[in-house]
Amino acid sequence: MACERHVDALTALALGGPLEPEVAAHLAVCSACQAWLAGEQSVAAAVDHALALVARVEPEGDFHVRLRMTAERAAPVMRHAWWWSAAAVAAAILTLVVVRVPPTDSLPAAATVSIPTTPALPPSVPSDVAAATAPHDRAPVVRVARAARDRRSTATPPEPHVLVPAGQAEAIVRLFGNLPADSGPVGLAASPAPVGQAPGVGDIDRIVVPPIVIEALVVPRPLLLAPEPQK
Amino acid sequence: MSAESEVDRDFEDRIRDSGRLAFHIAYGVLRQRQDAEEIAQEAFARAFHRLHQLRDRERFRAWLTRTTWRLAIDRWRADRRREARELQNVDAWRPSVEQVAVERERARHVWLAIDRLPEKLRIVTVLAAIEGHDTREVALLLDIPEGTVKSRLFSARRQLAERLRWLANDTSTR
Repeated sequence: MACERHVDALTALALGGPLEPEVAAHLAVCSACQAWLAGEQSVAAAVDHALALVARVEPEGDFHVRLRMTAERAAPVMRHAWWWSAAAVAAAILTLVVVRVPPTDSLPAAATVSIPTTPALPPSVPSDVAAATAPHDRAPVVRVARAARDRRSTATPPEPHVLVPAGQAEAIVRLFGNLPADSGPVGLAASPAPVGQAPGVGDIDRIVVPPIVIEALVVPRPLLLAPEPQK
Repeated sequence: MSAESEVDRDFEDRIRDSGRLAFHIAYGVLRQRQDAEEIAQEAFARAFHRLHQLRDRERFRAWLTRTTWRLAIDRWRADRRREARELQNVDAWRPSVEQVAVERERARHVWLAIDRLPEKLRIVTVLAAIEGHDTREVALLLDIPEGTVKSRLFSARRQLAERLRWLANDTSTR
């Protein structure tokens, strides 16, 4: 065993630290510390020897080719991932621009979303199918109206001011429908078309939602997948 | 040159630049050539996904280091769990001290001690071995200050020395 007051210095020395003059003088006369230092150095050498193995071993043969092939095989679709990402971001921005949600401080107590419906189709029909089968002379828009900010105000509610393509109407309704239960009154009701409605628009589904802020749009996973091969 | 072939060439360069690094990191954890190759391949497959986000070379190498390390550690832990399960079922065979060369046994103990280091100390120990103790390069790969690398390296060596001191005693009594 080394002299206790020199143990730390000897360990540091064995690990490549400097040899302090005081320790050097002590080492010259203390055989116990010399043996201790030799032991520490042999441990350090064993560690170095084992670790040196890591740098000595090389991958076999055409390792780089195998790396490349594996990477490409694992990710054939993602070659143009940047393009899909850019498209998804652009779609999200476009949606946010079209559905202009007011900032929190100017949100009304409630908002009304008016959606033209196609009476011939059941409500369960997907929106893209509904859009595809809808007559072209119908106005393919959804009108989003703000209620008066102050509910006590007796002023006439403002006119609808945001138009949304009909193909996105159901998605918006779903978005509102997915709001947490405690987020306020959410309801869907049928009502007659308002006076002055665009020609061809029939009954109106009306959804009443509390003020919301859309923080982010999540692009559905299937958008990032490659198209199914033609059978 | 098309964008696709540019991506191909870029990826090719990075494989040449960092392929061995990924292999050595994985080997430093697993000590199995085949396993290390598989981990390096998996890391590069992930890198291929993110190539557009990792344009900067230094950033790419740092990301690859972390990813390879993570994958290798996960594999190492899974192997250890599997070995533990297998040992519970197979009690018949145990290599005796006589069957194993002394040097190999010593190396095994050294690696066991390295494996038991806290992860922060373990990664600098392995990376320093790969990079020839170049602490600046290790700092770049881990995105930490060089001083931190040095102090962690010293702590790791100190812990190893404490755990392996019996090896020195064992040798001296031989």
